[in-house]
Amino acid sequence: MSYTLLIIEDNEQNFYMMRFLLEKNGFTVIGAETGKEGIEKALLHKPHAILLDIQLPEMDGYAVAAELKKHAEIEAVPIIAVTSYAMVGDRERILAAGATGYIEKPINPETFIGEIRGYLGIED
Amino acid sequence: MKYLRSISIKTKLIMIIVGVSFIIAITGFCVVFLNHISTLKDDLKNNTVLNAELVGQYCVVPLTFQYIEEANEVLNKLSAIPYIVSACVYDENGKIFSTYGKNEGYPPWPALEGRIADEFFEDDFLHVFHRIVYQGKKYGTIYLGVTTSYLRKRIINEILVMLPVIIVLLFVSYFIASGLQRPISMSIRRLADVAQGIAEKNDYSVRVEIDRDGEIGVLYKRFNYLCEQIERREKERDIAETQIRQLNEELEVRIKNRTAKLEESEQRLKLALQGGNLGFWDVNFQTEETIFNERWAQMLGYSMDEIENTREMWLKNIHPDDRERILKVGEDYRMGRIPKYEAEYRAVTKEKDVIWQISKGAIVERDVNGAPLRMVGMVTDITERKHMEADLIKAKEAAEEADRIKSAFLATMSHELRTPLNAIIGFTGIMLQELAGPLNEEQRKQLTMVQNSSRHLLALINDVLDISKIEAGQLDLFFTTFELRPSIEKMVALVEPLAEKKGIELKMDIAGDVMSATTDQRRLEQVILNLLNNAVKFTEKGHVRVSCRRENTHYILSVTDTGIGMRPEELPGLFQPFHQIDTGLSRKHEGTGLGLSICKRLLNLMGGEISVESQWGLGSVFTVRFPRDKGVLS
Repeated sequence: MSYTLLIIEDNEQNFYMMRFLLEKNGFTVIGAETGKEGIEKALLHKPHAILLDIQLPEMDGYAVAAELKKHAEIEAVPIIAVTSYAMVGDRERILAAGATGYIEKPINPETFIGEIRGYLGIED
Repeated sequence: MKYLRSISIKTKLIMIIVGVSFIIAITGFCVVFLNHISTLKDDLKNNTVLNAELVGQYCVVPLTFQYIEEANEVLNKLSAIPYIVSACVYDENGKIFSTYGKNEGYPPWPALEGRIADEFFEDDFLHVFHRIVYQGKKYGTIYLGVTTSYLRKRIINEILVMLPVIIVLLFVSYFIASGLQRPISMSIRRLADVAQGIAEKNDYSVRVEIDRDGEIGVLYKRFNYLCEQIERREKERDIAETQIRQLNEELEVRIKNRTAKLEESEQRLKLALQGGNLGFWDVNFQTEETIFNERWAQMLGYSMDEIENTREMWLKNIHPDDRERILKVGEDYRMGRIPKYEAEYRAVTKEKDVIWQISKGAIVERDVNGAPLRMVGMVTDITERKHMEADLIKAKEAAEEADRIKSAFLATMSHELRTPLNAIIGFTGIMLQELAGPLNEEQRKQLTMVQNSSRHLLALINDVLDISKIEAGQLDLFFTTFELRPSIEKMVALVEPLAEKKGIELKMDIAGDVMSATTDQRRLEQVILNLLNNAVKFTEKGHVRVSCRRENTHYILSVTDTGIGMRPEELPGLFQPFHQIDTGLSRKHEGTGLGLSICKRLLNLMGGEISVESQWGLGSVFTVRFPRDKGVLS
């Protein structure tokens, strides 16, 4: 089966890079540029996992994660924060906001897919 | 009596002796004299009785024959005896038979009145009645009246003769008494003279010469003993007086000093209050009277004449907005709800300027129930300080704002620098995985170079951000408790591929007592990894050993290599940023040159330290010491 992932990321190159990498590995990718759009698409498509950038314009990743968790129908969808750990406490904050896990930026294309599979519970 | 006591002993003695002599003489004289008078009287009586008998015998015949003429003749013979002044013969019937008498001035012949024989003295007379008896036959009674006045004359004459004798006797006794009293009175006199000398000269060292025994001798000895006692007392008193005088003088000096000191301290207090810009207040809660010093008035722009000594004066100068609060503080303190009275408030000066003051005080007097009676305190003008505090708060806020900006800048930088790198590293990786199509040898080689360069750039960015955060005080540690052994093993595993590639043996030597640690795990791991990376990087053959052990409250972790080592002169600058660049090693050995300097700073933040020992050509030992527990962090 094909897993559907929602990527909420405002940087075009990064989004393209992640989508390319994921699609080459058999995932279906939906993209959103803002937090608001991401929440709408999450509710609409109910993806298997959400890759969430923290540094987003207007509504940041913490607010998005908190908002996503408010909706019962997508409550169980794992949220994977993709962050550069700008400051100390950021990862604790994102986990507290509702994220299941995190992947450090810049991503390592060699290990990235493995990590995603791990969060989805897919056996290799 | 009083007079008797005041007369001299000499006179007394003479008086006693003469008096006694006089009494003895008079008594003796009287006894002899009375005896003499009695003898005279008896003689007179006997003589008269004898004469009466004789004359009576001569009257027997006339009586027998009633010869009155003859009887008168007989009686007239009595004129030869001058002291018989009257005579009378009674017949047997008691009737006067014959009389004789110079009866002018003398009592008349008494009536017989049955008298037989009787002799008695009456006034200056001796009356003698006698029976005329002849050969046992009674013929009548004869009476003789005798005057005794001559007896008195004779006695007076005798007394007159005796008086000079008595006077002479008294004189004699006086002279004897004078002679007798002399030794006694003289000795007492001597004593008196000595006593007087002592009294006049106040010299108790004088003694009476003891030249005799007896009572006087004893008296002298007693007197001398008394003098000795007094002399000793006097000496003791003199010494005591001297001591008292000295003490008095000392006391005076002391009082003078104390007074001077007190004045000095009072002056000092005044100066201190003035110098310290301290206003002084002293409130009596019973009378509401409150005393202020000049400085207190000055602070509020008043002169001493303008202030009243009332509590109202104090209260009315406090800013209306602060009054209630200050009164509350005062009440809380007095009720014992707060331990000390200290209040900062605004005061309004005479010129209506608002100034800041701080008042501190304490209760200095309480009644028996512990209720406050009096409170004393100081007031300082803290307007300037308050302004400075306000400035400081502003400065602090500005600094905090600057920190926030710095913090935000670093976060933004971190994000902005990584975002493009994310794409570079990501696409390079994707292409090298040939997900975007096959690569020829040259393309692969060049893309690998891009990958290496971008990774190096990422490392540089990470390190620069780290050091910037540390320098800016923006790097906060996140303490957790974790097992140290797996943490070390994880880091060793990370350098394993490189070590294996270079043919270097990795050794681990972790002591049994290495258990959990409470510190920032990620940062500690960053330090360990950095040291391991360096060790593997600078070692061409041999081994790298990581060892860890406990030392009381700390863990000691060291990384030993058999690499190139360092020269002594290289060691001092080793933990400075970009050290490797300075030494010209940068091109040969890949690295940011910031690793060790970050390690040192991180360890400092964790309360630990790092040190190095190295020998050129033989290798290096980096030793890290950090607290096991956050509590040890000072």
